[in-house]
Amino acid sequence: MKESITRYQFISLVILFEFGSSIIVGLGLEAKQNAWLVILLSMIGGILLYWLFTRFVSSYPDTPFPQVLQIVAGPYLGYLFIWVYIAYFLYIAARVLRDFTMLTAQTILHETPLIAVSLLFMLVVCFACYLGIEVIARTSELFLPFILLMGGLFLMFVFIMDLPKIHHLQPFFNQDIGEILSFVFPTGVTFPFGELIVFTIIFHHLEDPLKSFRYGVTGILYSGTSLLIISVTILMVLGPMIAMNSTVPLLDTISLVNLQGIIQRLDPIVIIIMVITGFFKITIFFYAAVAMLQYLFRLPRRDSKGLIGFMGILVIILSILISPNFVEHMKEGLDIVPIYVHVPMQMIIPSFLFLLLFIRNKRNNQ
Amino acid sequence: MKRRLLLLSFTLLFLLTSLTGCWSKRELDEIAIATGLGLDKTENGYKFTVQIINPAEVAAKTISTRTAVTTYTSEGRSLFEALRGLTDKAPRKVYLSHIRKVVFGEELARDGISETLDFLTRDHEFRTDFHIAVAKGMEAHDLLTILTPMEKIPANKMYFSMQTSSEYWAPSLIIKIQQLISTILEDGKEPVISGVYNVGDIKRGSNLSNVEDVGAPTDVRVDSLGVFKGDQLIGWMDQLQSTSYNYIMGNVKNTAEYFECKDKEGSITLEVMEASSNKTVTIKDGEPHFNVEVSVEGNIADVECQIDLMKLDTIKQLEKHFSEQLSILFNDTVSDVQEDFKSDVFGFGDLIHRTKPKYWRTIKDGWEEQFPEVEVTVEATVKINRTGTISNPYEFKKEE
Repeated sequence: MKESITRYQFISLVILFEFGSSIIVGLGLEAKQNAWLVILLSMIGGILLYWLFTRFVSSYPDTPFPQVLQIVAGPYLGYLFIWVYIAYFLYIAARVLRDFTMLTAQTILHETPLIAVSLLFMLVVCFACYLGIEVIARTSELFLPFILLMGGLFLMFVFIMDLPKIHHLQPFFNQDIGEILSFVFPTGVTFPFGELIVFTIIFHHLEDPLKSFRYGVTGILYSGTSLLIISVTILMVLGPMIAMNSTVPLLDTISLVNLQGIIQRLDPIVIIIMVITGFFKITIFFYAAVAMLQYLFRLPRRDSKGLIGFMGILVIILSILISPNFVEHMKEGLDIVPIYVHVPMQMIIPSFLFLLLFIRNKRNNQ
Repeated sequence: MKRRLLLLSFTLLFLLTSLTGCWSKRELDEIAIATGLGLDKTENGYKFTVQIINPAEVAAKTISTRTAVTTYTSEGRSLFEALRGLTDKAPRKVYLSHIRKVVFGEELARDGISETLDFLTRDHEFRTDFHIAVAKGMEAHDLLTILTPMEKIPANKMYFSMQTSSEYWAPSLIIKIQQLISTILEDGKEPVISGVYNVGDIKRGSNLSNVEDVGAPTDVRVDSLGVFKGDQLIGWMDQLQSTSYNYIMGNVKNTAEYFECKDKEGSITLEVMEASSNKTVTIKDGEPHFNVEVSVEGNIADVECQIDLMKLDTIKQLEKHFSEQLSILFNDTVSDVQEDFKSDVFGFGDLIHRTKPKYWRTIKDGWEEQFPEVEVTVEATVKINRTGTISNPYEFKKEE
């Protein structure tokens, strides 16, 4: 029986996925006063990329993505692409897992070894993947209002305290357009918007796969706008210098809230947001990899306990081996991964596939 | 079925032990909660003083002969070394999340505080909501040993004094760490930090007898501002200058303004209810001219000379008189700061940067030399709203 998810579930998945890590580490803060412009441009780029991703599902609405790959690129090249994407999704899942374990270690669990946190995190992720996309989607539907409430509380308290100062945003446009574009591409577009490539795995589960573009864009617009508001608020509260230099700017911002000595120490709000959105980001990447493997091995979901468990352990090990320390992890994440991993996976291969699809469709029509 | 049960119990056991969050737990009776932190310079490093709550005494209902706080001091080549050095003196590990006040010794402040700011923001235990101050003319260590009446915890007393006076008394100002760091880092503005100092004998102040006295002979005051250039303290503004500084920066919320009566003996005091300032810059012949408009609204709170308050004319005259007086004060302060400190604490450079970024790029490098020479006009406008619960001052006959 085909698993199916509703449009609300899909949109909430997209929103939570976009929030994952980007809401915590802050988006576009390197661009200082021009962060809003960078986020806006990245969002537009993200929507264009997303349009590209949905082209496949509109030609083959009911076919799983790995199968589409094999149809479009031929059995052998398609087979190769499937493995490349499995590796990519697992790698990114491991990276995000590392991000989150490290952030929890830095903010709340200082003496806990990373492995303990990742083990618990992956246990839940594996369980969710075993239960399937329907359960993941329903969970996201349940958690979205909660996250939005937390985000709303954050904004409300910060603004009630009158912490944001407009002068932190002046002067507008103090960088030239080339510099701004260098923040948009490759970093801004690929993270977090281009990562939506992973949703190609989920499209055919949608009630109406043909509308995946419309629903997805709704999700991108909601999440992009929220991220923009949050980023600008952080900048207005902390000032560009501090915001740029902070590992968890959202936490630094919220710790300034002290309302009449009653409402203060609101750090748990940020921690809750961090854990929930992080869970969804890892789960979706992991689910995508697992779903492709299940397709390859013709394994039904109920029989893939072993596969999921094995993959889970693999991701944990990968997340630890990925880099020896925080600095290298961040360096890789900001300088190497966007250009050498994200760009080929999110732009070059999909464009190539799109070209093949285009030719194939043309030929079929004749 | 049996296998399922086994798996379930295993999972439950695993979650039970791992989700309790006991990994790096620290019970309340194992930590020493620090409320105040004092940093001083020594020959080869820092002196680190923490003021630690003595929980039994803070909660005590009966009066005892022990103090509510204890201070521990340790020296080290770096701040973190000094902090860890405390463990061989204090019986518990110092917990820094509840720090209310960080005080720099004047000597350290004059040498530069930027090295210490790294630790204060990098260490995860620090939150960012504490107040920063400089111990005026003394070591931070001495300041933290003074016991205060009313508030059992001296760091709390400083915290609340500053909180209250920043709302009701113009010369004082709250500075938090992030604001301080960005002011030091950004071009075209320099920081000020409020000064804390003692009145009375320090030795007496550290004794419990200090708070047994009704008048508390030794106490801590918070009303002056230290002017910084970069990260170094270069001087102190007096109370009037601090007041003007806060007016010009738009920090004043509520305060009292004392004015001499015109042509008559006596004085009038205004309760300022609202104050705001607006800074603008114009460029004439390649030179920047700054214009600051300070508008003050208030009620008459205290009249000690004979005037007829019920006349519209009198109020108009008073407003004019007050405006002139304030304008003179503000202008004097600005030129004093320009001459004596040569430090752009008003953020005039930042104002150019924000509003005229292109022009700023041309003068940015020479701003430090240019600042003492720039032309600044401050104009104050006072508006009187109400005159209190009596109309005219009583005409008491005075014995000559």
